[in-house]
Amino acid sequence: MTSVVVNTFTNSVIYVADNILMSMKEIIRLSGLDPSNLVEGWSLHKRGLQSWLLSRHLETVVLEVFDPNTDALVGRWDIDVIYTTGVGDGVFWTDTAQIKYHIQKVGVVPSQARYRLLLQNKPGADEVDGWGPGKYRSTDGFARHSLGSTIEHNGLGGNTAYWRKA
Amino acid sequence: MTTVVRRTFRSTPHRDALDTWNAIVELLTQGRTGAERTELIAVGGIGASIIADQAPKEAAIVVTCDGPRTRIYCLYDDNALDGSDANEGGLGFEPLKGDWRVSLPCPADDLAWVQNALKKHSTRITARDRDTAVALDTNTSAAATQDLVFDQKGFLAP
Repeated sequence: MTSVVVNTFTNSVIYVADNILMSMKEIIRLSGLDPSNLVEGWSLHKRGLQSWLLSRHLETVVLEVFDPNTDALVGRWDIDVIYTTGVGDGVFWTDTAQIKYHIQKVGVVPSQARYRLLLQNKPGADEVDGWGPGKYRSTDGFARHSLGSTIEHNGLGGNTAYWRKA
Repeated sequence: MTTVVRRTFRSTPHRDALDTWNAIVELLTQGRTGAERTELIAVGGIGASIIADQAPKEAAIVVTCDGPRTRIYCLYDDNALDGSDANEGGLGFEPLKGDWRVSLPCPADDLAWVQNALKKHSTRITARDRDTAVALDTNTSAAATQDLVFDQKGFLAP
């Protein structure tokens, strides 16, 4: 009997959600901050990511780094979700090397900086326990730089970008 | 010589990293509630992070106790979906009997923050550089290697 591995959209959601969190953890660590807060909330974060990836409402995952004294934005990383399900050859692909290269260009952030994770959805997304409405900090004076695709499986993936002072 | 039992869990994308950790906790606690389960569940986010980094793909999560030692690996990607190399079966002994410890393999770059984060929850669950063997593992491996020394004379004998 010949067997083949079957990839479903659910498998893609699990893969992409885990690797979004893993990528954000790398960004936090390479920026000189402690990833503990992100990791302690792994259950909450994965619940939001998986729920809204499955319903195809999730548009962007945002990591804001800010100064806790002024509340001003210090830096920001975005992962824009790409839905082209049904396309792809089943390859599991995550590129953290590209993220590392660009963080070296941006440099570490001040050690007192804090961070938070935000998920931006299309209208009509169901509520998920633990998540509520939020607002971005101003990006005035910042410019957005795109890295392109860094996560992908069977057409579900993420394009990464970062914001730095222009 | 230490008795060593191996288990291999199907991780991402068959199940996500946190669910993989929870399945490992289920194996170790054998369905029992109590202090051990509470301690292991408390470090779930850290365990999930290490599993998402694929550290247990090549280096084992090592569980020691007053009985046999348990080495736990994870499968990823197509191997996780295929599952033919998995062995998630229950253990015929108590893997957390007596003075138990869990050593998590960790990418070297993450070791400092992971060790600090674990200390907040547990003294029994620690992390090591994934390229470093657990102390007694070296002895176990050495013993196993000695058992497999090629006997050329015996092999060539008629």
